[in-house]
Amino acid sequence: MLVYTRNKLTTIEDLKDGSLLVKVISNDTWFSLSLEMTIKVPDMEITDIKGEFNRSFYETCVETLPVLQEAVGIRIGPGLIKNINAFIGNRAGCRRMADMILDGCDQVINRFTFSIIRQMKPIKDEERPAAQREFLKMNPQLIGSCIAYAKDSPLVKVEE
Amino acid sequence: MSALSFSRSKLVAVERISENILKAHGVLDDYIYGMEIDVEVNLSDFKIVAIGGKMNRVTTSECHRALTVLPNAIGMDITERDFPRTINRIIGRAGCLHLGNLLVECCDSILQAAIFSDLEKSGFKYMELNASQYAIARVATIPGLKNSCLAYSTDQ
Repeated sequence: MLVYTRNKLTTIEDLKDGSLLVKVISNDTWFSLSLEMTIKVPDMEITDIKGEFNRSFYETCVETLPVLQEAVGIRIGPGLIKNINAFIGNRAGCRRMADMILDGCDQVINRFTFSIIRQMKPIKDEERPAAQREFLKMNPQLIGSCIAYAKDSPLVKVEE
Repeated sequence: MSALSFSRSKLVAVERISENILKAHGVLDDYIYGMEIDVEVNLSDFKIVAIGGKMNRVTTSECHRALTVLPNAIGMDITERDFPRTINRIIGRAGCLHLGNLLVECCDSILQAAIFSDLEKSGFKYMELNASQYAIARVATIPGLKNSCLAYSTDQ
């Protein structure tokens, strides 16, 4: 028998002006939260944010919503986690909302990675090492980011 | 009208497998990746006692190797303030960032299940409770909860 469930969905929509609309919904046994934010591209800056508690065990949670505005102006890049946790995930704020902002920002990055992966899909096996080389050139931040792109990984050694 | 350019869903289900052990089964599916985690936490000290995973859809031939680093999480205390950051390093960067992300979601779900375990045991009789009093009692018994957010702030 289950004692707790959580269902979290993050979606990204490309808007006409080139910015991205991020929606995060977290529905669990005790809380239901939703978050919407707009990301300006290519600045990768949070330009708009709003959140909602649809269901909350603690009435006080709704009082944290104004704190979300602290995220406006923060960019997806170095210092993001530290800033969001400092401004939103603090004793006057909401750690769950902070996690949802970070989840949304993660998926913005994955949205761009997905475009590149989709372009590489039709590439034939014999051409894959060269394509991999090009992929890592375009995304040098991936080197050292996980076991697949560790410096001793065969995928990275192709690059050397 | 616009279409989705990316989507990720994470589903976590927590069950009590013994008096002191909660087990989470987490599934992550997005436009790129698909993976699962099973993790067990002992509520007497909030440490991870068992973990396993499965990579269902990945991007490289090397991604499956990330499962080999999962046992490094055994013994970690999920209530530590730096727990997500440590997992990001020892499971994320050393293995797979997305697997690390799912593990943090699973452990946070176990923590939430632990916070509300009294209510679950009493058959979800939450409407009769004073939530503020409940929060104060939780802060006294769950490590790391105090001042983690407004609901658990000592200013309340």
